Amino acid sequence: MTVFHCVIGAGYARPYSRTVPAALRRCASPFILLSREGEQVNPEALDEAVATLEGNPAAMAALGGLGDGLVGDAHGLFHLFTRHLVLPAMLVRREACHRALLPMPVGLPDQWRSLAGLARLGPIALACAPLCRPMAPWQRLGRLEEIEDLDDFLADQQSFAALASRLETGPSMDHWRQALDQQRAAGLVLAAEACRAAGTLALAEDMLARAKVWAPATLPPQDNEDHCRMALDLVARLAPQLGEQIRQVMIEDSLAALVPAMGVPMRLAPSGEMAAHPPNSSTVLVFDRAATAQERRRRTGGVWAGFQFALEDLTW
Amino acid sequence: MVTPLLSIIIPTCNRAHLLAPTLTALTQVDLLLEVCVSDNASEDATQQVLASFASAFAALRVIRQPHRLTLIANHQAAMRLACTPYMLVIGDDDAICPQALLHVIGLLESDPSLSAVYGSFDIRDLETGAHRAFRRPTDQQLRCTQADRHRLFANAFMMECVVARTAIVQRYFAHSGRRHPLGWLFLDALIRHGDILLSPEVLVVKADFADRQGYRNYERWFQDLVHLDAEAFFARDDEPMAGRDPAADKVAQFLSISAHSAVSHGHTLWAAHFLERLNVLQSPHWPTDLAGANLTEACLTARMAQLAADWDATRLVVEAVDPLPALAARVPGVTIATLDQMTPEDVVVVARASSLDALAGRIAPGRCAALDDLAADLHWGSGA
Repeated sequence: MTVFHCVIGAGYARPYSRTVPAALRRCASPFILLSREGEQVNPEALDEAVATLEGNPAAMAALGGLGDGLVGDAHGLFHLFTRHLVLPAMLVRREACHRALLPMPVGLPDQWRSLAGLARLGPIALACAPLCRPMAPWQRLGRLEEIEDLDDFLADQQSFAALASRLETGPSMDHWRQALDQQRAAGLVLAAEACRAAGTLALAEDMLARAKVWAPATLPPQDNEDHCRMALDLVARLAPQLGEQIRQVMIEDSLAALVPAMGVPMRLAPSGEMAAHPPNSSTVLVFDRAATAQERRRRTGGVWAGFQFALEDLTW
Repeated sequence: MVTPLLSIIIPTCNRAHLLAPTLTALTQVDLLLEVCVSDNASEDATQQVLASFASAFAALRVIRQPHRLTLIANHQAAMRLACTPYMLVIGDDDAICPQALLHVIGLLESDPSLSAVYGSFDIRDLETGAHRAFRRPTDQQLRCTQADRHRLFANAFMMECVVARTAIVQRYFAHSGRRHPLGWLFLDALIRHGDILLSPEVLVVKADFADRQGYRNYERWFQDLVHLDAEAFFARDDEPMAGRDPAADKVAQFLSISAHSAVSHGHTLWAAHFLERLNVLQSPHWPTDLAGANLTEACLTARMAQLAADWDATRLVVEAVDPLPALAARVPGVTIATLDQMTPEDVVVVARASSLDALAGRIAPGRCAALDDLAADLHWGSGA
């Protein structure tokens, strides 16, 4: 049996929502495997999923690694949604793909909202083994710290709830909204972890602050040293944005243990030396205490105030 | 020597043709200004334009970014340049109202406990100068403290026009990465370090062009930014949270405004997307005037057009069942044919999914669609 394998690139840039459906419309195979770039296909599981769909003409798609049996009503979809943050690779009947997925103009065919569209046509088989070697959720989602990916994730969840809750009698809309809150908070915490792993700690802070609004219980403990590293990481990122003329970043030597790698030359210096540094626009100064930075700004008449930071200002 | 009190902050990117008249207008106002521009790695004549204004202001501070930054980062880079006591961020196609700004600066000078003054703005058509809209945060002057956070948040969507103390902005906001320079987190930074004054005075005249709002609203980064700004403002509340509604409400407001904008400019599929998301929030901002039969029909026409475009088809074959012929007639760039004229090269739309079986073997499955499938997710929920 020929299976058309649609590999969706990592990231959710707008062209995918046009190019993927256009490619799928031209597919002539009876089954389509939807997976993400970097996912390795498990041939045995794929054969099993094909056999499942061939043996069960009513089933519209097969998903591996989520359990066993069939799911098709609003309760079943709700159950899946509250236990999994992202969907794994799925095998879809071509006709179901054409009827349920391609008319949807926003989002991608392997997302939650698409599953709700498929379930409208018939049940979904949960094959036993994953069809592809599973990736970490944040890898499957793309890089959540890239803003458009995160919004896509949140939008997909909202759309799924809107579509799935209409299937037939199921959980109340209040239950759907509570589940959405939990899932979006879990997604934001996941995004924060991805940001931490990538060293973008400021973004991690933003994500955690947002998760707090939706489900405070999901928040991981905070780390003060992380805060400081985050602040200096910010300076490292800001320095190139301050202009082509930046020649060095001077950091108060009390912060030595926290200094990240800088994209521009960096020098540790005593506070006194930094405070006496002649005002110019080629050196970024990072002080330990806000008072020192403020005093310097006052003394230098505010010249290039934006180039003089205090750790306290960056970690408020 | 008289030094300026106000910095006009202008982030720009590849819009030299708009920046030049904006700067020219600023040279003509009777107000001593510092102008701070962050050029986001423009490839057009932006640098030449800026060079030509080098001595036109009390100070012109310019940074040219070596690499393209996000819109937010570029705003913040421009904010960091300011060296005067007060700053006002404007677009590179906006104009300022000097007399009102003089008055606002006077208020800030005379009252150190104020961190900022939020004013009104006018929106005019960039091409014709025609008045489009007017936004004001208040009908009369109103002082707000930290305790008014909830009230402000509940009563306004986004407060965009503000003269703020530079020291507060540079210390507490201008390094913050992803924060919208004119959003709720900006207000948060200001109101934490002083009172803010709401004024009905018009401080800025913003330029408008076709679908200005839509252009931002379809961008995923902007959609996420609206979530972030509202959620993070709410998360920073010192008082215990009463519930999730305020942030969700702000998101719903954005989705509702976006749906309106998308409909008014013919981007119906986007409108459907916004409404679909709005559906689950069950918000009082549901746009009851939008989600009806007209929008459904417009979305179906857009989906038929998309199907034809995917196959580069110039002919659309439709079943002679209402409302298909009428809908197909609205698809631009295609001729309409009936099922008995169908060839394997055509793109076909039938009324019911059950009719697709009859086409099996006569046309590739991807080339045909049923109207009820195209309409399956067009459900307007609480607004229907």
